[in-house]
Amino acid sequence: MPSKKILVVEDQEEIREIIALSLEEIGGWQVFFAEPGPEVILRAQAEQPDAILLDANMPRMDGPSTFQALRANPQTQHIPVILLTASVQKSDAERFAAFSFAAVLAKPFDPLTLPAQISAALGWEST
Amino acid sequence: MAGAMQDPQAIKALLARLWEQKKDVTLSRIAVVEQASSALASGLLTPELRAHAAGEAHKLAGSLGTFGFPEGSRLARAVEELLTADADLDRDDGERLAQLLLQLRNELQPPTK
Repeated sequence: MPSKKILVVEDQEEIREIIALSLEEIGGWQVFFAEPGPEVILRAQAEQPDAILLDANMPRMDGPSTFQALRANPQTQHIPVILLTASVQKSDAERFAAFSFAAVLAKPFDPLTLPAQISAALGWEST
Repeated sequence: MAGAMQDPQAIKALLARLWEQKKDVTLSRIAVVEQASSALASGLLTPELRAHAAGEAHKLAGSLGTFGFPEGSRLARAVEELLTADADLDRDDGERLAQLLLQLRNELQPPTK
């Protein structure tokens, strides 16, 4: 499988770094970041990543709001978005189900298996 | 899946080094919750500090397990649930919060030889 480009949107610095380590060192993918908010749309438009890994709980513009903005933009609406969340109550799952995320992954995640989880969610193993 | 796929032991060593680099961020989040705990014990916990501490507990719940402390995530989630409960917090809640924080601090201690 050719290397993938992943846009990561996460406000916690320590989580950003562990995601980068996981996806670059284990997945062999290219990782780049955007600050929560309008920059996500601009970066997604410019870079056309293979997927966006989006934290649910962020200042300024949360995951679902960011997702809606991505879907409203013709240049980013096709990009699969995976939500990453530490909100794991049943009510949270119901709230997220209202959006067409490619997948919702729970935090804490295992950095050793994160690339495999993303690949499985997006059907990348068979490509 | 193609890609770098380094030796898991090498990845674990990188993760351990990253934890050492980022441990202070985690400890500062715990300190905020401890501040809220002290304020609660003194009857001085404001809604703002309670919300801030709940947010920090949420971040701890989402991150500690990723750094290899699953029990730390469980404890932080219990802290978050306590702080985000609808009810006002009472003395029992304060004692429970202090106990959870003590357990959390202990969980993050390096193993003794």
